[in-house]
Amino acid sequence: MKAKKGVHKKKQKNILAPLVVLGIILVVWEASTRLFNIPRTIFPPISSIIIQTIDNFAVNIWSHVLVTIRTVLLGMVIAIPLGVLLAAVFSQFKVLRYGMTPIVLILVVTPMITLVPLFMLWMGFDYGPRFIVVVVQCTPIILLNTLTGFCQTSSKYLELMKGYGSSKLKTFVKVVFPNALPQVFTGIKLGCIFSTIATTSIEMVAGQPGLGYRVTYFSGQIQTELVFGCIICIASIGLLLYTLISIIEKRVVTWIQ
Amino acid sequence: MVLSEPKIKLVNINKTFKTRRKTIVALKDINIEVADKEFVAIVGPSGCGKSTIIRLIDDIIKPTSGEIYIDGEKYGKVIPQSTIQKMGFIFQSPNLLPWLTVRENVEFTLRILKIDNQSYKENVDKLLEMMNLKRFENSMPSELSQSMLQRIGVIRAMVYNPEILLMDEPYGQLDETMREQLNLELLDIWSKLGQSIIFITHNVSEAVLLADRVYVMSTNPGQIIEEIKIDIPRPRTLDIMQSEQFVNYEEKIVKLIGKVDLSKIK
Repeated sequence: MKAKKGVHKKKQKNILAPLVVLGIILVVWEASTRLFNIPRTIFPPISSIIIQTIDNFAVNIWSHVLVTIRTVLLGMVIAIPLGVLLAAVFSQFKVLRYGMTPIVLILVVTPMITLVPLFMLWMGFDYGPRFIVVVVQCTPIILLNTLTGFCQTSSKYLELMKGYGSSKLKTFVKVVFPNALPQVFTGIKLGCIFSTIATTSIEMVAGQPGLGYRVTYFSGQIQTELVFGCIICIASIGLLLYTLISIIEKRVVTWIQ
Repeated sequence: MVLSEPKIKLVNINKTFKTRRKTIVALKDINIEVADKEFVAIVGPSGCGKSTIIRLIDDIIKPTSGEIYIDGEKYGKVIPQSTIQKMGFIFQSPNLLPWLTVRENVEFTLRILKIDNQSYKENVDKLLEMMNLKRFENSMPSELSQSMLQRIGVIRAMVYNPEILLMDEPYGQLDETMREQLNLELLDIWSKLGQSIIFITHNVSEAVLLADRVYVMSTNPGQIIEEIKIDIPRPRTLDIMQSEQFVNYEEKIVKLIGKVDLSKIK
């Protein structure tokens, strides 16, 4: 009973602490913008951001939120199994692993925004294929983390399976894959972060629809409150996705405390 | 030397490991026999190849040359399931799978060997009860102590009633008191179930307490320098470790190991 109360209190602290910090930041933001009379076109008070965003949300923002979510989700739904599958294949063939890892690394470190114009040339400006950019951005990240997990299986587990005369496939399914789950989820969470970056990058360059496009549009209209509002929406999408994956991770990877 | 057909037989075993820089001769001309229901210990300094020997028997690695026989059947490229099922391996450090409960870890072997029928599952209960671990069957490995994990490793190796147990310094990481307790527990289980056991240890007292025969090894390369029959009657208790006979065996083995050129130990 005492242990459960202790855990409950810790959970309360974990939720309260960031909320308190956020609250302090918002108060300081509001106070400083008003105190120092900072022009709203440069750095508006948080209260006017919230009011403007709510007023314009239904008409000017909501449909773009849905487009951005669609692109992010579609991209991740493909990137996750693709990244894990490729990592599984690479882990079994040393030549493939050594040959392909530098190329995968190049894809990870190259800023996606520099590649977006090329994607526009190849795919056009329709929003339909934009999820491909998310796949290209996120699959290598998921692949590299998952591959690390697959290749770091402890030799004592592999010896255990060898002693049972277990096939490579059985060893992979029963031991290598479950052992690598913490790294798989790390890769997926990183992928979530980069998925919103990739989506926003292509929307900013390719134009409507999407929240990235809306940021550029409102910036051009000097409607800075709505620029911030769209940024908050983009961050919220990324945060929600990250939180969802974290919740799933906590339920699946129960042995890491 | 074993008179009847040995349970385990290693004939002229050599094992070489090749690294980028050099070739290491780990084992040279190893000849070992273990009779049915016999308890044999292998002692020697660190790095003499003791663990390599039982990994060869368990077919985790292949010898460079030489032959291995289980019940008179020679190892080929792939050893049959029936031979695998005759052996249980207990590792130096507990290697329970952290994502499975205690019970799931023990039953894991049955699932891998595809022998998860009712009688073996009853064995799981029996062994957990014998080792006083039944109440932890739904616990995760992270919730248990090292000694409990190691005992569960023993149960996992024994659950499908193997005729042979290969034990690689199973209690090496535990303190003296816990080690003595588990050694007595092992002797008790062995007296009831009667497997052939190869027990690797660097602890000479442990080897003399447990074994019917002790193989003493040298290092670099690993070779058998002597085979000593331990004629202490059973059942053996911790009191026997104070006896003159016990101490004489210990001193003899320590002297043999002490003759090993320490400059060869890298």
